[in-house]
Amino acid sequence: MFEARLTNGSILKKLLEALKDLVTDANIDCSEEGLSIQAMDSSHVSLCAVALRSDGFDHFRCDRNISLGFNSQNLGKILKCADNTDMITLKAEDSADNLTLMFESKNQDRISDFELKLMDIDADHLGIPDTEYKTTIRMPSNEFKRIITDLQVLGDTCTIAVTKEGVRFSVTGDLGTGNVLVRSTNGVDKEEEEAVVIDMEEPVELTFALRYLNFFTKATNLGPSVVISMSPDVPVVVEYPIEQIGHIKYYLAPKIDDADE
Amino acid sequence: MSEATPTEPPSVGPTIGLSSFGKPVATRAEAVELFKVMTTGGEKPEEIFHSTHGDGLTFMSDVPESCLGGADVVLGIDEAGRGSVLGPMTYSAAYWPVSMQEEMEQKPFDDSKALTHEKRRKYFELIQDTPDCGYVVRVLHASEISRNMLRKVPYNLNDMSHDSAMEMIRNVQRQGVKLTKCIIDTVGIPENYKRKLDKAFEGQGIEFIVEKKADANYKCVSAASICAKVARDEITPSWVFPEEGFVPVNGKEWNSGYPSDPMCKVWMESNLIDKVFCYPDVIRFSWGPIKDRIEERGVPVVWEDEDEDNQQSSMSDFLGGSDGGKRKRQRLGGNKVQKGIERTELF
Repeated sequence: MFEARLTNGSILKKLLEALKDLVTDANIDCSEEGLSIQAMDSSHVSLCAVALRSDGFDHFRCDRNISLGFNSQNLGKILKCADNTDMITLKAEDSADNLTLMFESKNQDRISDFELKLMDIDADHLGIPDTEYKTTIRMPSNEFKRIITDLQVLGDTCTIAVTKEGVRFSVTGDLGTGNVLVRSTNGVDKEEEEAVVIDMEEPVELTFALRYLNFFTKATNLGPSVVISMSPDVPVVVEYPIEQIGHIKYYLAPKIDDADE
Repeated sequence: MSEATPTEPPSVGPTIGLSSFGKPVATRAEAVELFKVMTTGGEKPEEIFHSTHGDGLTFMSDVPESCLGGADVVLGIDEAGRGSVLGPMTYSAAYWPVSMQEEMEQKPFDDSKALTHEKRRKYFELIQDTPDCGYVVRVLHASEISRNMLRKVPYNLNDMSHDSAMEMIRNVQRQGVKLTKCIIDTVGIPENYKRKLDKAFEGQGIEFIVEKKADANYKCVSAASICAKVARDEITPSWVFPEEGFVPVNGKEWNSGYPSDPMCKVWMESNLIDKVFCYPDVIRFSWGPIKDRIEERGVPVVWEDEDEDNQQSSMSDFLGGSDGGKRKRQRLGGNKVQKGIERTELF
């Protein structure tokens, strides 16, 4: 028996919004520790990992580990039926073919329940390597979204370079070129959420497909900050912490300069 | 098929649109002969009834004597087969001296849509037999239309129409005809079209009239609409499929060729034979109903190098997993998922 209740149901709504354009089918893996989802996009260029800790739920019970395979478009459609202020309860029997979703309005005057047919997704476990990153940037998530949106006007490929000067996002396209330099916030007059914090051990420069970075920014509503971690020649991690419960992390494989191969 | 070399839109150069059949012919008899090739197949039907790799053909009658020597000439333009899902779109211009206008008003030419097939053929012969009337027909094959509309930066049907009209006007001018008035049945918003023409022929003393229903209201546009419609009606049923071994189910029973036509629907349904290429190239692949059917019934196509992305590395290369991180593509299937989040394996 699995049962999990979240007063702030909008987190689940936003999570699906952040997933559904990138991932077609995936498993929700339920255990005592919480829920997790890991999946790659269809072209295997990016990976998405969601973790929601059990202590972040208002009620959480998971008698034995189960995997609930879902189609993200379909789960998204059902979650659209929940209001942002609704409390959401997820329920499944140990050998269930269905996931029950219950939406309760704030003052309990409307209770809806939906059943989503589950799928059997026999997925490989994706062994995400534990990497010490050479550089980490924390910045406001909407600021990051804006940069990605702006740069997309000019081209398909974005270079992210971290130096002691700051983080430079650059794009080159048919129209011309664009650069956005983001510097660390000085002083203490800014709220922590609005600050840009760059932690650099050594300079890193990587190139990525903007299309995917744009998919990642669909998670902007999940939290005020985004944390970008990079090391040479390995995938970037774009993490959106979700307050008090977990995170969604996106991994994106870099573009490799032919000369390096 | 993925990245066919895009053809340039017709430019304003001096030889544009004059493919093998595009040269003006010396005598009226020769023009009639040429058109007969079109109507009977002639010796080399594939040159007309085939799709082409480049642009379609331009047919021109000889230039009437009375239209030369500085006489003011009026020209009308109309098209046929625009909305059809298959076969060519034909564009035509008909012209005569302004001084003959009164006489021409007596001709029974009318909007080709208002005429029966037989009447149209008869009036087309009448046009051919009218020594003061010259005409041009530009054939835009389905393959040319598909290719243009499906380019990375699409060259749309309205622009093709506009450019074909300008190309025909220039072809007539190039024969030494002094055009003073051009009347065009509009494609798109008349004001915009007129502005485009005024700009392209600035300072050449041509008055442009661009209107809806010009094909019913002006004799020279009616004449052009007859030429265009007859050309399309001859080419489509005589089509020679260039696809080797392709034998259509239902022959060419596509009737009008319009996507809403029940007979055409049946044809589209029963002739999606090849799972990869789907249709022969008499079909306009850029049309919605065709795209839908291809999507639904053709095999899915994956372009491995889409977005010229051979520099994009794969996420799988960075993952540890059941059989190492060296796989180019990690496919679903295999080990059962372990629970929880684990970050165990290194690169």
